[in-house]
Amino acid sequence: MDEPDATMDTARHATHDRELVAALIDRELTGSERERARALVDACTACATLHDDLRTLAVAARDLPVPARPRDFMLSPADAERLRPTLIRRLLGAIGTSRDAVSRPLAMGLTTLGLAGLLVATVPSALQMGGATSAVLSPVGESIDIDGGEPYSLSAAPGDGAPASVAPARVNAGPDEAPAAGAGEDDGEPAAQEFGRDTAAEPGGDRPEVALAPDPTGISTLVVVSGSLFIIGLGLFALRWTARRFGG
Amino acid sequence: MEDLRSTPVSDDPVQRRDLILLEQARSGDLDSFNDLVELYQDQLFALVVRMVPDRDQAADVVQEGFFSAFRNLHSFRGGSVKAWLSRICVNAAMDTQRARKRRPVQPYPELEDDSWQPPAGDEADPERTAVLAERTRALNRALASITDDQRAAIVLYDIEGYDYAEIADMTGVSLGTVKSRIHRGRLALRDRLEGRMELFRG
Repeated sequence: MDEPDATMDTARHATHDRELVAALIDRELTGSERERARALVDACTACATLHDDLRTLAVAARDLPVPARPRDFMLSPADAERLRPTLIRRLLGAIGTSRDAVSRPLAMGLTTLGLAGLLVATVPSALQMGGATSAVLSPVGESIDIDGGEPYSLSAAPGDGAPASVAPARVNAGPDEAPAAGAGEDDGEPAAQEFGRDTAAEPGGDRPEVALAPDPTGISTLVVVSGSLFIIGLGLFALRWTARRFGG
Repeated sequence: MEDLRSTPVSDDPVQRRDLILLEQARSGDLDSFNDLVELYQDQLFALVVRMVPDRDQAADVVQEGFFSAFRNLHSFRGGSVKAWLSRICVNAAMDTQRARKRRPVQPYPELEDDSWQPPAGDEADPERTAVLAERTRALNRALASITDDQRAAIVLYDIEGYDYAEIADMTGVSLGTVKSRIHRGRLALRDRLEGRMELFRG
């Protein structure tokens, strides 16, 4: 009910917006809200009484006596020495000021860069890893049987900075199959393909067991750098929050 | 170190005096800081003791507020020194209120204390003095019984005269929340005093 008329039954007072009536004594109520509140007070005697009571209480609150302060709050020289601003506090103060135009964009930039780096380092390699393994092998770490026979194990090795899934691989087989591992390291072809080709050529090869492990060095450099940037960015946000919260 | 010369200089002589004292305090002059303490300690205690109606706790809050102000002199961003000090004390008072919430105790028993009563003049009418005392007691009790947030909003708006935006800035909440706390707080006060409103209408 926005426009109550003068004949409005005060029994309907319970349905009226009491908060609006409470707002009417504010200096800052404007426009249509003020008109709506005024209409309620004019039309409903209970709203009018409420309005008068609230105004009376606001005045009474202003006039409430306050007990005298129990002591003096001046600082002694010892207090001052103890509280003297340190370098860290000055730094926090500088970060917390509204004129600090650097820390926020810097924090945003670092976290964004770090997050992007983490995504670049993890998502594509995970996708490629999934594609490579599903094309030739079962999911990573799962053993497969090829023609039966000797157990084979395949693991990615460091080299050429390639992502783990396409890094040159070393095929560990029995002592007689050593050349297969060498081929994988030299040309940098995907391990799974290398393995597939070499083992397919095995005459009467038995059932090799294959496990693919990610290249730890290729991932870790980007992940560590990105992770560090991300953490530094978050730290800067936390520092800003601390400075604003406790910097007065 | 921030330079106060870069902050707008007020035409208000009180603000100018405060800024000069603050600048001197920043350069290590403890007496200047204590001049500010002397100027504002009564007002700040009156503000805080209404938010935290316990004299000893309120005194601790104000003392901690002045300590915090001294530690953070360099972070003053211009404007009114009084508003800056008030903001620090309001934050300290709100921290105390939060701590009280975590460790519930008897809510402000000392409100019955005579120090909260208006001083009676020699020529005062005893009947009127009694009514005033009863009114004060009832209103204090009602104020102490509403939520801390509502009480803080009412004290800052109705008693201290800050506007919505200043209160939002001091308490770190939105403008809408400030309005809602003020309006609901008033209604809560009135509901608690239902049946005793004659004390105030007279």
